[in-house]
Amino acid sequence: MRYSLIPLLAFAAVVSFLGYFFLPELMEGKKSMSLRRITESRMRATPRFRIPALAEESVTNMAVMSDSVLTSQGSPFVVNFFASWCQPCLAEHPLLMELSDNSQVSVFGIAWRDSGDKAQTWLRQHGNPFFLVGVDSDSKAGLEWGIAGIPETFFLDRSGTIRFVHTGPLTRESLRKGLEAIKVNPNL
Amino acid sequence: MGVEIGHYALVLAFCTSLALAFLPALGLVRGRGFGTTFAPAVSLARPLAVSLCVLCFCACAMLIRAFRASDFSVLLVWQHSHSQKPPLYKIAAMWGNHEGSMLLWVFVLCLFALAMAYSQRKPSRLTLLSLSVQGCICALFLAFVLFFSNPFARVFPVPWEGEGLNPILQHPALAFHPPLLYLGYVGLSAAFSTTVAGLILDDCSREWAQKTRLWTLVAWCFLGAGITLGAFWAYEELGWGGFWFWDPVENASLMPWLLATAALHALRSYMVRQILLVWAVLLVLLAFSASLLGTFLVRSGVLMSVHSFASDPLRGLVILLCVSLLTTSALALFAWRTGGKNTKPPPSALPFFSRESAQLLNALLLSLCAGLVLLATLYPLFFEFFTNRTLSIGPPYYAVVLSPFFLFLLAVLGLLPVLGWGGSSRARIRRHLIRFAPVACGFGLAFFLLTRTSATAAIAAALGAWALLGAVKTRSAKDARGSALVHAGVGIVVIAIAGASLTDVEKFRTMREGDRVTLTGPLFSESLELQELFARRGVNYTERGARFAFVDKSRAMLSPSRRVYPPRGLETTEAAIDRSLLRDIYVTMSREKTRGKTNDSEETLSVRVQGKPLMFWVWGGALVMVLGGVLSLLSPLVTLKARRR
Repeated sequence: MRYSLIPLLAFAAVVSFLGYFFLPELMEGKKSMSLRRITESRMRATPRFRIPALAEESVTNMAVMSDSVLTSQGSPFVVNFFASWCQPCLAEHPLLMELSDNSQVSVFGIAWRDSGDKAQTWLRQHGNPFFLVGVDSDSKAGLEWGIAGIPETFFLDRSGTIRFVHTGPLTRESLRKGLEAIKVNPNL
Repeated sequence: MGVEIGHYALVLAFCTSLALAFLPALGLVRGRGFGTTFAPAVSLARPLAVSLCVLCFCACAMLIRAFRASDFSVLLVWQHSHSQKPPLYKIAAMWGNHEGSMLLWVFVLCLFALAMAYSQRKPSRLTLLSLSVQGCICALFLAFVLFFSNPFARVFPVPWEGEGLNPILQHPALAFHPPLLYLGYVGLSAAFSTTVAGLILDDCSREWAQKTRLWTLVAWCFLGAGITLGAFWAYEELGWGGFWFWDPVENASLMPWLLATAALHALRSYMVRQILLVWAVLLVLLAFSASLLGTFLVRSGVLMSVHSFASDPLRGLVILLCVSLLTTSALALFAWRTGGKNTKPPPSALPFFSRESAQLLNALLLSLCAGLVLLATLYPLFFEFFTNRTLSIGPPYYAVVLSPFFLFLLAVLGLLPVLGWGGSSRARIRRHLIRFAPVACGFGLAFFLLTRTSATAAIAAALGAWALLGAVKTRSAKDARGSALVHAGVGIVVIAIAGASLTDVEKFRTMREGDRVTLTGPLFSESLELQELFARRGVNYTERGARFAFVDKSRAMLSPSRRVYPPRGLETTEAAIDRSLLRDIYVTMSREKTRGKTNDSEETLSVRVQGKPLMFWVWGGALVMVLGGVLSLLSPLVTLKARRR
């Protein structure tokens, strides 16, 4: 074995691995592949997690948020990752407020890498669109949900299966798409 | 019309690059083996390089012209520009998107071909062959631009108005950040071509080392400047108060920088002591491969990132093919040339306390760090592939994994003045330790007592001071001034980062006009008063902001604001920063109309005030590093032998 071959082999391994991601997509002739891949791989059941929740900010005074709390709703719901330190989250905030005011779907918030106090202050300042707010201070839930960055919004259907994911600040259009994916009348 | 001229120039450039790829090499082959040269083919090398460069420039200029004139019949202009955009950003929009930036990338590639052609009075065989290799790279990427991401594509019917550029990108630092970064990324191509040519000729001689060092150093300076400018933009414009986020795109620029740094050290060891040749060759090849891989990662959409370009599978695959073609052939050549000849081991084992072993350690650790960054960048993909779940990797990983290596390197860096080539006596090292280690420890302790936040920060500060002392102590031999300056810059940056990211303080407040907020940090205590709220119209945005005054009136007013850009309804945060040598005060605001407030007539504002100690020195230190690079570029390398004479 020649040691000088190691860099070549290592690089070839990396490249062929990356290439693997492309080939099947290309064969099918689909367009926006990476997005589809990410969305599809996330079409799965509610991830298991359990984090503390802000009881004072919730509708039901619950102090825990977990996958079973979410799915026990028995209706479609939306999970939004936000943080008080996140400026783009402010951009989508009015839309979330509108959603919680005008629609039947319940919106759950998870304050990602944030402290309960700060999240609470933030929600008091800007209004609270959430049914229940979980505090994910060490990104445990973020890891389970596999978020790519915040804000990120998951749309889940009645059975608790993720049907649509939007990364980045919500827009009216993406919100409508997400709600359509979980068969809720957008009513916006 | 201009657009067609640009398109045509691009086609011609492609043909020219093909000629450049074959003719100089052909000239070398025709003259029996690599012995003599075939004059006509060789004499064409320079004119070809010039015309390639001129043609590419023409294409770029025509594209910029289309952007200046807001010619929305060009697809690219329509997608990425807007008639209301300020002139500077109309031009910058040319490289604010995939196709345009790829064209700029290729233009820089041609610029370096030109520089290579004229770097010598009479091109040597090595230069000619490296020109051919550079021509191959040019041809490959010009073909990609022409056939897969044509910036001159038209759109019909012609739209009335452009779709605008991401307003976050409207910042002077960002207007200049990509060109600088490309000069760095692509500058490595010149070192790569020279090395490949050296491998083909099987002649990695002194000439090769000098050339490669020159190009690597040029690229290193630009890359450093580009990375710094990018960090500066993130700090000013994103409004998160940080300057480095370990985003895949940032990693893509960091990896080549790390590898180029390692390559420079290995090259120097080779020039002075004829050791680490294999390392030098490999690191140069890897550095450019990393910058190619980075280009791929940024553009293919494989990784989600804040600022990745739009994704298209075909395009991604083609870039991947180009990257793998270049890299695998270069690495195969490397394996062939170095593997067969059983490169001779250094004459004797390296003395443990010597400059040589420090250089080897540097090459090892820096390439290891680059590998770890690559691993972390790709890990989410691996993870998804094997477990079908997704995850994200954040700054904590990098802090934990990379900091031990960096801190260790800093410790060695501080010893540099007493680590001579060929070994140094333990007594000298002991003397250096006795004299300077207490100073560094004292600095660390003072840092800790002053900030009282984190021990890690104190250790980093102590090691930074240790490295700084070592750099200052380094005797000012003519060829060592540049590197001493760079090392001093490293020390400064480390101390500054220890201050700015580990001991910063922040406050969130909801304020009315007349309210005050006080921020107390390790090196400062400031009170700010909110004086007034204002709204105004900018060139292509509307702005709502606030004016803060320092209560003791010692410094100018701060006015953070939020801008709304009508074309896409996007909102950006403009941070207001008060800079001084010891701290930055960083104020950002969120929207001032808040829900749930009963009294709407009284406007409130929620602000975030951050105090970042020593932030200025992050930029200062980085600048010192770049200046050091430029200085060593200007001073010729002196070998050990020549110095002793």
